[in-house]
Amino acid sequence: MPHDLPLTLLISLVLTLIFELGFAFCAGQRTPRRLLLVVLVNTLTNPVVVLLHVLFPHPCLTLLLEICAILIEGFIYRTCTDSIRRPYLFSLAINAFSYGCGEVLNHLLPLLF
Amino acid sequence: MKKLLTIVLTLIFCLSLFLPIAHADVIWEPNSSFYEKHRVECEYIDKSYVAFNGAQGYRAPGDKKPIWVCDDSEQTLYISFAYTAKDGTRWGAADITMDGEWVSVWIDLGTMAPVYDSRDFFADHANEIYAYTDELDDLPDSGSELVYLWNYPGALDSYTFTLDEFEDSYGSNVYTDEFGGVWVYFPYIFGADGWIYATDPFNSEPISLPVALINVPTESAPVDVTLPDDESMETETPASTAAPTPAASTAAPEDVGETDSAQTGSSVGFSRLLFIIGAVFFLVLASVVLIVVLYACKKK
Repeated sequence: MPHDLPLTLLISLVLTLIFELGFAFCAGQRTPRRLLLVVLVNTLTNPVVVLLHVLFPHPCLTLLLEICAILIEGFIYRTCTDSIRRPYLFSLAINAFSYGCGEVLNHLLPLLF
Repeated sequence: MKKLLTIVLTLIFCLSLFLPIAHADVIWEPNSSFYEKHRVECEYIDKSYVAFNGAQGYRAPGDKKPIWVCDDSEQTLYISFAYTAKDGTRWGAADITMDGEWVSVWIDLGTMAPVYDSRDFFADHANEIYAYTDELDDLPDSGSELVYLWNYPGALDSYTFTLDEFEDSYGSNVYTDEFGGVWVYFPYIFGADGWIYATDPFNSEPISLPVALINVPTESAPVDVTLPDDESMETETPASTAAPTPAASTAAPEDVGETDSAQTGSSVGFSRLLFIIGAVFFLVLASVVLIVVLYACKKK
């Protein structure tokens, strides 16, 4: 049970960036500008989502926050780059991948340590 | 340019949705003309008191005719601000309902009993409270079992949370009671604070400890105050009989064992949370600015 909130936020952001940058790279978004955009949209949404999840840990709120994050990220991808053909689908996929990896990691880490 | 403006406004709107969190714990000010005139002389005490049958509330301290009299055998009132009159009488402002409307009344604090709370506990046990390390590490991360959060070690009142809800909350201080039971203080959970009995977090029965539940009103109380005849309440006068002053209720850093801040755990936790919210907000703001820059570069 993490009791250091700043550390929780930092780890969450770093892991999200690793997963999403990996996904974006594999999806063909390889220029520095596109990767920077992935970093920025996550720096925009991830800390807020994680902080609210920690303060109000209700599954419905978490779902709502994730949906908001996907929509905001999709909107930014659509507005700031032409290289992503379906920005909202891309946002959904990249967030689902990141969330899924996080869940797997959450279950794997206690088994490893 | 129009599109850029749309983006910025949308992002500002999205950000504003998260802003109210930072203002959640505002100070409640009495709706009283006396308070308006004497705001500077009033002292923020943020404490609950028990008013007993016959306790009287006035429109202003020193008034002769009360506008409210406590009809119940006892009533717990939240006192936000206190005013000390020239004769030394301390008056507390409480909000009560009269004819369906909230009215602020001034009650002589000497006629009421202060409710023992977490701040009092911190002050009374300052040297026995130390920083949290890993006392709750054995607690499962998830599950539907209820965890009990107590107002203070030995309190009768508790809140409950499931393990799932409790996930990611953080403890700040630890206290070991007379019987070796370990208590972990949580400064902020769903807008409240409290202690978890780490020795048995799922225990629903209050742990009997020799701590005062309420303090006894001072003898100089002008109103005839009778304490309820309740065996569960310890009526023995504690060392500090008078209502604890804010200074006494707030443990200094050196007093709180190994705690690393100048305030009680509650204040520490809340200040820390505000700082974190501020940091997240600036991070978000910086990201917005850089995204707008990226968008502007794309347009060029």
